[in-house]
Amino acid sequence: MTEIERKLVQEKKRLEEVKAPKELNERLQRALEKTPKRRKSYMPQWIAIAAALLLLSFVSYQYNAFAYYGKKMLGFDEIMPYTLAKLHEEGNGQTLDQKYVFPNGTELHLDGILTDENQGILYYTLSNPEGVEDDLSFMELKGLFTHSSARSGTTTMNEQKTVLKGIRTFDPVSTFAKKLTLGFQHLDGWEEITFPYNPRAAMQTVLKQSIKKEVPVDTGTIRFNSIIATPSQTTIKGKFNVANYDRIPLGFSGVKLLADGVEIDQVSGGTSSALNGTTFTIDYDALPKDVTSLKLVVDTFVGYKQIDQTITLDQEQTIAYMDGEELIVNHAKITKDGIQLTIATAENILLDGVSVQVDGQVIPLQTTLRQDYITIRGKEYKERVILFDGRKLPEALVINGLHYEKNYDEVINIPIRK
Amino acid sequence: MTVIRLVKRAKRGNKDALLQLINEQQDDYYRLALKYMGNPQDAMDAMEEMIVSLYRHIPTLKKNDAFYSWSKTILVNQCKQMLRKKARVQLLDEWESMEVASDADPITQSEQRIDIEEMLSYVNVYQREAIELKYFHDLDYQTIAEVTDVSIGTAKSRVFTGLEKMRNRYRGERDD
Repeated sequence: MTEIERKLVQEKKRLEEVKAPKELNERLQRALEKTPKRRKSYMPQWIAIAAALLLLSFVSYQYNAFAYYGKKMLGFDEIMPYTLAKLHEEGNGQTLDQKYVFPNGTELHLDGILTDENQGILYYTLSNPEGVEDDLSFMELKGLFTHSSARSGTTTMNEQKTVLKGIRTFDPVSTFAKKLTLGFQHLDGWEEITFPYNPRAAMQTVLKQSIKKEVPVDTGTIRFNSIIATPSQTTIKGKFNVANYDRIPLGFSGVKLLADGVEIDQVSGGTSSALNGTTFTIDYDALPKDVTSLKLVVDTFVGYKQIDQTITLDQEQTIAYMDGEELIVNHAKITKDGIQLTIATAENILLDGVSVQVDGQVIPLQTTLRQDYITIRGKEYKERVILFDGRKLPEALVINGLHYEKNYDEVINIPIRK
Repeated sequence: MTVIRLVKRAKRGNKDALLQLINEQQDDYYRLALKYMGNPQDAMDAMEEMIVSLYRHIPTLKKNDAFYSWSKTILVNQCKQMLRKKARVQLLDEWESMEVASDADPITQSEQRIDIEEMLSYVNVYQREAIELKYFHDLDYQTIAEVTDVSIGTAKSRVFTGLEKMRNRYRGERDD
């Protein structure tokens, strides 16, 4: 090794003392949690070929920047939800004919955009006869009074992997924007495309009104503020302050929207914390035409119950019922770290105040080592391995309370004001 | 669990598997991001963006065993992109210089640092980047080439020519 290399190695050793901050792990985890689940499907080859051919003739025929559909978006059928397909059939939205070619030969084509007060939806195609390597990510739309982040997306790829069709939803776009700039990330870096946008092509809001109703739950309240129904989606917004909200992974999925007594599919939901409290958004599919009655039902939401139960442990397996909820405790083990217990409950149950009794003494839970989803006799369970300090097998397991999915059945009527 | 098995699980959309892969080399990623971003906050921001990008793009990773070099390439691209965006803003607050404090012995470390810093100042920015990626961040030439967007040959020659320049300079100083 030369003197220089020795110095470089020395410097590397010095650099190795730089360790990642402790908060990094949590930040990465949170960033991933926020990322919508990836969905991918593959469309049959003939559809892709037909789509490519039709698209080619369709696109080359239209050189005008603005043109209304009057036709279905081609090649997107497979990933387009029913509501969107219908809107396109009715001639909503605006076609775009914007191209961008990447250094590796991949061509990005922006096919169309559909907008309303709840969201913006972009249709795009990536194609490369040599194969499409990658989808785009981190897309945002910018324009006058507009800075819309991408929300979620769906793509489909043909078998040869030469054509990728994608739909990406964004936060809504301002009615003042006459031009939009799409920013996206590719492996080569950040790119932008600006294209003309016609705000008049945005679809009219069907219904927009306040709700202003509160629903008390076990550890706080949920306040429903407003409803905005557009042709593409129905969005409920509100605020909540519920102490044990995130103890089970239920979110707002148990809050239902009924239109004339029929449940509307929930599309997505999200929460964000601001200075003045935590807000939530629940998105449902579009309302049917001429709705006369609307109801929000808090069917299930996180609840808490105090049980203060002592469960005597058997040699083998103990099955106990905590106010009706099943708990399976497997034989305890002594490991080098302490007393290890494997327990299982239904998915949406979290135990609170867990301890074991050893020789009449109470030892609180130290940590959870592992958590898995398992199936026993056709039923889904959440199994976890929990650890307590100590060297002797415990006589009993003590549980103070449960966070669980509770049936509230609270109904809020939303009178329709026309 | 092996890297390959974790990569396979991550490809199927398992977020925990991806997190575990990153955790294994968390400090390496962090140092790499820190080299480009210059401060812990931005380095962590870049890593957040990286992990989201990895999650989206991992199905396109062809060789499962190339996960680490692939993901580091994405991290560096992410950093460079953020720096470009920041460059516009930076004009406004260029008065505020950023310094990374080290909590180890300041005297010996700073001296050592000046030494290497001085030697690295004799080579151009491209050579310096290649040398740092190779010697401080253990990247192989293939990855360096991808990260810096040049051919392997160019990446190698940047390292060799850079080292050569430093060597000549160092020898020159000693002979004086």
